[in-house]
Amino acid sequence: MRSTLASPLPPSPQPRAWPAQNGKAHYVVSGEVEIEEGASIGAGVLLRANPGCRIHIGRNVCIGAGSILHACGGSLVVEAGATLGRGVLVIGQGTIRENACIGAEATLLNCSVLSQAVIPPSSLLGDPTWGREQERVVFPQTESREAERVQELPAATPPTVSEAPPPSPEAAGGDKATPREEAAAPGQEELGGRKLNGIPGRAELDRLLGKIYPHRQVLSSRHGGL
Amino acid sequence: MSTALGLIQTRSFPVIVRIADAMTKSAGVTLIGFEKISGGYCTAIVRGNIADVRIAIEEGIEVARQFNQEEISSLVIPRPLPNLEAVLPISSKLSQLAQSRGYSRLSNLAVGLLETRGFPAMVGAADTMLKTADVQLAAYETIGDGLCTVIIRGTVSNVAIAIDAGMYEAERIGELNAVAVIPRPLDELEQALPVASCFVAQPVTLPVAIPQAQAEEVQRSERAGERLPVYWEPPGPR
Repeated sequence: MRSTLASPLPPSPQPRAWPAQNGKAHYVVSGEVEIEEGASIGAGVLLRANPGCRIHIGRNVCIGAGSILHACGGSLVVEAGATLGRGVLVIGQGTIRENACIGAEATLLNCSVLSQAVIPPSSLLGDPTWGREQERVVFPQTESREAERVQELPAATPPTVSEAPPPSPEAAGGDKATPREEAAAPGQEELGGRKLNGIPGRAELDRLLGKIYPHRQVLSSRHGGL
Repeated sequence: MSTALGLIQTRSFPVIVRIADAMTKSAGVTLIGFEKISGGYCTAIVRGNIADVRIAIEEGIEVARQFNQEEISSLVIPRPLPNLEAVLPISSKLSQLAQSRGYSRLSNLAVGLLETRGFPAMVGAADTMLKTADVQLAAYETIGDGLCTVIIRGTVSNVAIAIDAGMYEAERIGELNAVAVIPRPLDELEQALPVASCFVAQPVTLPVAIPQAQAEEVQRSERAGERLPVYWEPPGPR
């Protein structure tokens, strides 16, 4: 019986431990995801990096429960101290700079956020037509190369919000991100001063390879060394 | 032969092989062969009924456009005269000659072709292809104008990966001109493609030289005269 305030509080009933405390992973990681020390990630967060892409979570980053970070077309970097609210959706490539604050249930489509920027809750950043643009770009030329999407997208869809500058190469990568960015960037592979895409039969071979190996983007993104 | 004649010419060997593949699969035509004059000009020759030849040549032109070929020339002759056939290599005699070559050990495999301008690039690409995937180097073909084509055989996935790797190597060394992969060539296309002699299965010859060897033995040994009838019997299966 809790009758007097003076009595010490009984241990609060904990039907279950907080997910972060029970030692198990409470969020889902898929693909190449790096999480630095001190980052706190809420329950039910999805971190998904497509083949050839990368997610980097910096130090002391805070990601609210139920957020989704999906890197496609390049690297998605959340720099140190940034805070993402509950239910934030981040798709595409880009960089969320240091100490940026993104309100709950915001959506970031393929854009970057400046340092110290504050994004109000439930806001939409980036070009809403991005997904459609991607389909329109990719399907006709039958080359499902991730690298070529990277090449096409930043020029085609400049983000409209002022706090979201277009993802420049220096903004899109931390120190570790740079080599992979460079490897993924040259969509039109130019070797020996001649475009390999114009070789007769190349498109047909790519179609064939795409059918045989549907998940071959990882291999093809570092073709220069093959 | 009163069948129609179709010709189509491009300036690349892989492209003409790919066109021939499309033509033989598009209509009931017979591929007679490839005529390679120098300067990089290759011509595929097909025979068949006039409707089939028309369809095949249209299909061939379509494929050539897909392969970014600028200089395409084609011809359909509904009824070539016998004198034309007697002189020009457009009758099926050529394919009979090719078929007398024998059975290749590389039959029923996908074909990969990679054409470079210059020999070192072709050799380097062939080396890379053999080291990349489980493919066999079947032959190489030169068509003039510095163009040489390496032909590999293997399963489809092996050939595709090998061509992909060889493409980059060829471009690194020299100049890549064209690539083509034919997943399942028809028999007559296979017969028209060159195959190195090491892959052609030779007919098995029975040991007919044994009587000669025994004759020497007889001459050297004086006492072997009694054994002579034994060795004159035909050798049994071993």
